[in-house]
Amino acid sequence: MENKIQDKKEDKLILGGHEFNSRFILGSGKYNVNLIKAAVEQGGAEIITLALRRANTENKENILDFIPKGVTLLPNTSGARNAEEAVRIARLSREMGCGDFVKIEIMHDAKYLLPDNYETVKATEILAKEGFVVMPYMYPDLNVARDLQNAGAACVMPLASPIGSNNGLSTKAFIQILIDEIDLPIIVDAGIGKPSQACEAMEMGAAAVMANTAIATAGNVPAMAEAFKKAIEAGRSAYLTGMGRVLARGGSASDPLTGFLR
Amino acid sequence: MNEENQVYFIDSDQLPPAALERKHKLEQDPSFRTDYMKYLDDMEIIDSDIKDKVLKAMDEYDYDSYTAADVERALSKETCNIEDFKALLSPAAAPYLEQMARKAENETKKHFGNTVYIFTPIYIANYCQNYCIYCGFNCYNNIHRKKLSFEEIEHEMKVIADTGMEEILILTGESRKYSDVEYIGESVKIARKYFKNIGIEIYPVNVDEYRYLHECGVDYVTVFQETYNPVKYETLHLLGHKRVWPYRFDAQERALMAGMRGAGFSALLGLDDFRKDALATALHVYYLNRKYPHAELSLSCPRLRPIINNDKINPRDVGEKQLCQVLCAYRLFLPFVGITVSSRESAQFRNGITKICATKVSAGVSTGIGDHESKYTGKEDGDAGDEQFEINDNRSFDRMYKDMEDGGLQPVVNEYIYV
Amino acid sequence: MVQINGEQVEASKVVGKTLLAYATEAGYDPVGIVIEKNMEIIHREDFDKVNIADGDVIEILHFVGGGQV
Repeated sequence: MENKIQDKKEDKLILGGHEFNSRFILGSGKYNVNLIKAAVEQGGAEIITLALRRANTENKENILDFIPKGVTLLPNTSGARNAEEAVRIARLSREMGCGDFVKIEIMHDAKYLLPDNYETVKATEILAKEGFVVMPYMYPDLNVARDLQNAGAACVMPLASPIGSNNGLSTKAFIQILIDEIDLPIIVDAGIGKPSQACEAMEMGAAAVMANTAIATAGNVPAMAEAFKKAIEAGRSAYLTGMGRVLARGGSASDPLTGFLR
Repeated sequence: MNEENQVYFIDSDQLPPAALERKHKLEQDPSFRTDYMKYLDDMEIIDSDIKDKVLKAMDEYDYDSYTAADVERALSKETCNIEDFKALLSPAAAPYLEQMARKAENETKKHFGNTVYIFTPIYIANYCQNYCIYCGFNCYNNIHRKKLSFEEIEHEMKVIADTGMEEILILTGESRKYSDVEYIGESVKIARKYFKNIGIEIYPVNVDEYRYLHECGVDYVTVFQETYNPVKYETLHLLGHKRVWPYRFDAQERALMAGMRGAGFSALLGLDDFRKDALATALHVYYLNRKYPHAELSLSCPRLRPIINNDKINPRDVGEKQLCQVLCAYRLFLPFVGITVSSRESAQFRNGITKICATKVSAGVSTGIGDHESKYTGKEDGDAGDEQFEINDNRSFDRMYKDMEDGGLQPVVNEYIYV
Repeated sequence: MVQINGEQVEASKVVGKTLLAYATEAGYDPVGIVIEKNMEIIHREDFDKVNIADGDVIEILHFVGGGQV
């Protein structure tokens, strides 16, 4: 892990050369578009994800009209089952003229919606070469994370638990390995169900947290977005400050190990 | 630091006047020496930013700024980052040595269990074209020079293999002229007949040469940087290929690029500021691990020893406690790396440190040329080449094996299969 | 026949029209969509230059909330 302890004022999240003050990436699914503006504002989010779907003529509502100006749009490739489809969706999304960011999501597993790491690496390689800021969603595997880094990813987005499960950091030990070993921002995505879990991910050294279902299914969407914002900030501060000492339990052995030294 | 009690310059009365004059000029007049940062024509330059990262970190390291609280925080964590490592190397960590040792013991057990590897070095030639002022092989030191013939190498290796040893480290003085790459490669081929695991510690070479040596049977390449401080390095390595600091630094990376399985690293503690050198050594390993995650990397920790014709050379401010602190810090920062403690250290130190963090020790050691048989059997051999430095722990393989077992460890001679 | 967003459309109804003309008539907001024709992206500035031909497969897409849900 690089020395990440730095002045808080300069503590920016950097993705593909773009700087962000917020470390909360907001999903936009499963809730009313009328709540997006309030959720973005109360959550302090600077990045919001979007999906590309067939347009219809009945409902002419354009989600872009509900997103406050200055928020970076992060189209995902949801619906893609392989690298080829993800690349196709990414290119179409860029054609919307909303920037070069893309979140790669590739699943061909309808039950658990787990990402296909192999296809994700392939898509990352192609899209990074085309100038996209590639943010790949993945199952936390160190070798794959290294492949993604070599392929030109701007960050790595390991899942905490199956998407939408709200189960929290089931993959904690493996995400910690990515944080320790990979020289890219590690953004914890999927499965974060509560602000406390987001805080824990940030304490571990995650660069950001992405959440959707936990907020979409809350009693009050903007208020939950704000709770996440606070939790993410608290976790970040704790990480930057350096965690305090936890006293070891139990007695210590009798013979000193270093008694032989002259 | 105690610079004045180190007397490096020794004049032999056998040197011709012209050579003596050149030696004095090299010692006294820095402008007479070559540019130590400039690669020579035959030296391959690889694309790597690791040197710059290590130099920057070493330059910025202010170990006196760390406090007891920093050390306690580092000790309370599950994983140790660069900042924690800096705290553990600092003077503030000295009172925590026992705690560091306990934590290090735990990490060592997690990664290596109770095992300790035993190997032996074999010096096949002591010719050297460098003037490194602290080394017994230096080109101005009046010692008996020798290069073993292939028959002699085979004989020596057989003697060593008969003791039960399965891993060998082949060393030479640093002379491309007297010990060329092909000579070393042929020696490796002989070693393949007797040993399962072969390392080399020779002058740094280019990628294609490492590839050739790998094809001959080498898997591990050890190169000691001596000191990571280029300015200090320049004042110690006055002449020869070895004078070029950056080419030496990139040696392990070139070896890995050539397909070697692993690489060994070290600073010679006592040459310069040992805390900065320890930081740089560990970061060198750390960054190479990130770039070549499959590579098996290992650390050594030699301290300066007396040499032939100069018994005054000593490790200065690096006492056993400091050495132990450095080794525990290495273990906590890089829990997965092998740590070798050589026969430069006493039997008592090696027995103790293998219980904490060292994972490999040498045994049946001679740093002379072609004298294994005489040392092992007591048979006289008047023609052996002189030694590089005086060893401290002269235990045989059998004795070391038994002592390690008695200490509760499981000695391992080799568990590695060449691929 | 022409296939638009998965639906078969009578060629006589659309062939010869520009993409812009078709999208506007059908009720899409041309600013908020991207169009893919036979797997090729059609740039927005070309919407009024590209005509629909018999056998075309056309996708008209826009952003919505969500991801893999």
